[in-house]
Amino acid sequence: MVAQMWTGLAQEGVTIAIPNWNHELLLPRAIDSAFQTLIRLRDEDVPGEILIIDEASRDGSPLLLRQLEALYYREGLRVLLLADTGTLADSRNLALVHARYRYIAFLDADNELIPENVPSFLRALQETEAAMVYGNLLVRTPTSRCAMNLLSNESVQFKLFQRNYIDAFSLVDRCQLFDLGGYESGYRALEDHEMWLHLAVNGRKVVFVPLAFGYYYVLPSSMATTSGNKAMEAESRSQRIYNQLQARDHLPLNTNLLRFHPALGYF
Amino acid sequence: MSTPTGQGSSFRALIVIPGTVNYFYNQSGRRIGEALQALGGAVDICTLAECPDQDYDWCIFSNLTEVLVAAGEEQGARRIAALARHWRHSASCAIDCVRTVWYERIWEYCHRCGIEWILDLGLCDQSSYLAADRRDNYRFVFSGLTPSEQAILEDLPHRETPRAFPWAFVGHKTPYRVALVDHLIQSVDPGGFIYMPSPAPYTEQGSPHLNQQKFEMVLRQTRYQIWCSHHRHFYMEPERFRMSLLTGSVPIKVLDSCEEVPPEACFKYLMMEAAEVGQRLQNGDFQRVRERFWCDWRRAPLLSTELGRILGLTSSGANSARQRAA
Amino acid sequence: MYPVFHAPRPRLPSVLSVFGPIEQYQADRDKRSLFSGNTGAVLEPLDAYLAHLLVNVHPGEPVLLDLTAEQTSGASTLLGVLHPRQPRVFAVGGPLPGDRRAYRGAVEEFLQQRNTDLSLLHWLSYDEMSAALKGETDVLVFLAANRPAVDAEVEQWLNLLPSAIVLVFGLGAVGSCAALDALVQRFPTGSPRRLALLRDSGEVLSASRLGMVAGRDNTAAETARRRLQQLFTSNYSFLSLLRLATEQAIRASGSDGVVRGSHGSFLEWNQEINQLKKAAQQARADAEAAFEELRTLKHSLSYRLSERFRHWRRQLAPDQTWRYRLFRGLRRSAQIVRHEGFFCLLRRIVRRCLRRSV
Repeated sequence: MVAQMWTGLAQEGVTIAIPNWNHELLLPRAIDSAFQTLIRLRDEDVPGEILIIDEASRDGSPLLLRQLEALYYREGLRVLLLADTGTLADSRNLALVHARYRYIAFLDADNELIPENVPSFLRALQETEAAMVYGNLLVRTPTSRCAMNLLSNESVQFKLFQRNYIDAFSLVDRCQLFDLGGYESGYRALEDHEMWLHLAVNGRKVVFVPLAFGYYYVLPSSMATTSGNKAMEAESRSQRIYNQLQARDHLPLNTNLLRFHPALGYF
Repeated sequence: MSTPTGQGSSFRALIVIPGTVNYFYNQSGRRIGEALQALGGAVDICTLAECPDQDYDWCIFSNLTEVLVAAGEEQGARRIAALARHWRHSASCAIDCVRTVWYERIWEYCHRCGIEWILDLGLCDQSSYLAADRRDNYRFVFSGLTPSEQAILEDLPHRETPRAFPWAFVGHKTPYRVALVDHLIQSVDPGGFIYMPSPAPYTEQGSPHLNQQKFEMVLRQTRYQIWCSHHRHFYMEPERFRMSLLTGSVPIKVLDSCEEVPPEACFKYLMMEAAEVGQRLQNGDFQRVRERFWCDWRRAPLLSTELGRILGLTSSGANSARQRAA
Repeated sequence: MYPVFHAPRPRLPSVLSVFGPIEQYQADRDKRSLFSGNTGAVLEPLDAYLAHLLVNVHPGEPVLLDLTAEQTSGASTLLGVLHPRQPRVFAVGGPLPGDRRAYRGAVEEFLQQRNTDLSLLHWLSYDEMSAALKGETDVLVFLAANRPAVDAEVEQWLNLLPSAIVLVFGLGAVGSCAALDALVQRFPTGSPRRLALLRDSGEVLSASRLGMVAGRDNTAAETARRRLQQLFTSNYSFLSLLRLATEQAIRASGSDGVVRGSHGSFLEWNQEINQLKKAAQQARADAEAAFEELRTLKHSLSYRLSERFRHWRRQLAPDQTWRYRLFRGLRRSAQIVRHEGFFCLLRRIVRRCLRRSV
């Protein structure tokens, strides 16, 4: 496993990692968008794969994934079926270990990538040497074709220490996340927020790219809407770790206000 | 921030800018200053705190609300009262829809501080939307080009150069705008430039948002700049049109179904409802539309001509007036 | 390094978990240019996974007889040795001419790196196999379709081990695969042995090139095949997916909107929408007019005076005080005088006084 991990760290390309927990009905949409993305990337000679990490789903997900892997393994669809349920942070760390390629696009099973724009995000990540790039996420209801809100729509600013506005749905440099110890598995919510703060205080770049990265679907009883207490707990923990003295505003931050597009450079 | 007062000038003008807050009012003040200089005036541009105790024919605030917000409301009002005896005439410019609270606020401040006129620097006369008692001090000024902007327009390359963004949408995030952006992704091109931060003051420096230089940088790589108002009244945002012009992009204003375009409005071919945008932008000839847009601007009156006419100033340095585009 | 990346977690088998180590082995082997050979021609990822599952669902204690080790350069041997059920594996390990012998060392080295127990792996020559497996009941035989006379070989092993299941890897399409033709001919319908192609077990297994031959009375084989089939059968069929795809395409064409806008059936609906739009527009205009009126009113002298008067009244006669009650009484009296006259007021006062005295 270790050997595989090191090989992948050096291999240019994109792994689209999809953690799944009982999203049988939404997986086809996410996987389809991931496949379309692979096609776009291959057009630009970038190899890619889809890695689905199933956290012991009890709905029809394992069966569906078994079928899809049987059909599309050669096209780059790979499945890790876990027998017990861990945290989302655990899933993401598994993706860091098992990905074949250096760059990972984290896509939740209920969301959808906008394939046409992913190559630009990849170029931005490579050119800025950032740990993570992200872009606008259009927030929709489960079946709507029309967004009603935006997420991940601003560059990193000091207000990130107060509240999270950047979703995990982004493109990361696996090497840098790996070197910083991956996701904090003790978090039961907002592990992405913790990661952004972790990257920021460690001098890494987290860069906003002004394109649409994907669609973020809000579901009834989704983790984001049900984990209120967990989220508050996680938020106060992050406050304690990263900004206990409320002094961050007065300190330098390499990633502050970074916005980049390959056609513009930093702007 | 002051332009030295010239010798032998036909009139003297003071332009008061906020200095901080929204950068485009500083820009607007500088544009007025340049236009007045082109008319042969001696112009000083400064913030309220820096205003000299000198006599002026005209004092123009860009815009009074922002100036007072930057200087502190009470303190600013006292300073204006103290300086007012040095000015023969005074005005505040506005680049807002007259049916919004922002214009209302300018009117109230003008009333309170004894400012005579409100100069609506726009592309379409809005006097018909005003109540009778508000029309007296309203003056519409067509926001034409300044001499330096004219030079930029003449230097723009006519040949189409590749542009990275098929469209760009820059503006505060609102639900309607987000829905529109989703529509643009689906119906026009997914690769549009999207910058829709949460509302916050725009400043020239240290702002998380795009300042003028950055916005222009984006527009130079953009084919269509698309926007919609964040209110439901018809209004032609002059800065959007002007910035698109000077960067070689084409402005597209998306209309709310409740907005009625007045018959005298110019650039009607650049205004459309959301449902039409996809088809019109995909089928439209960018180069041809842009040429027409440029051509219309060349025929439009210059800012200096307009200010000279409205303020009753003689033109010694400005170009002769041109007829406004149909 | 960080322990978070190494903590093992229990897993269910997937193509990745089964074929991933084999890919790693192949990559190592290619990197070191140990030997040549196209493993993929025989051992497909999907077939490796299916073979893994067959070992999983086998009701007995399966023993693997790997006769494809040479063709797969040892990859099929790994498939058996790395299986969590830890079956005994008998693999063909030479003597072989030239570099083809190298796979034995490569397999062992790979397994040692992974700390795998090698005591379950037995390297034998082909001729030694029959003697070694004599008397075994739950044998799974791996054969490659590209071996000469594979059909005869299958029969030979089933004669020797009647309860065995023979898996033939690398079978091509009907009409273009001599091995498949020969197997069909040798094991036709009605014969005591049954040939099953795993790709017949479900739509999603159509890419499989694995064949399974066992005695028709071998219930273990049949049960295993059925369980495998169930693992790949869901509520969805190709037809439902096709319908979904075509419906999506039709929706994307925007024909819904065209029909809604043009067809007579939707006339009322359109009218209603238009009426609602107009009503909304009108309501907005009315609200604006009312707001305008209110604003004008607020700037009028009478309004400002009344506001000022209210302010004074609040200052002079705050609510809930005797002054306020007095003020209210006076105001009421003034109203009565204005509307009904002075005498009426007197009449009311008298009446009230009388009522109180009673």
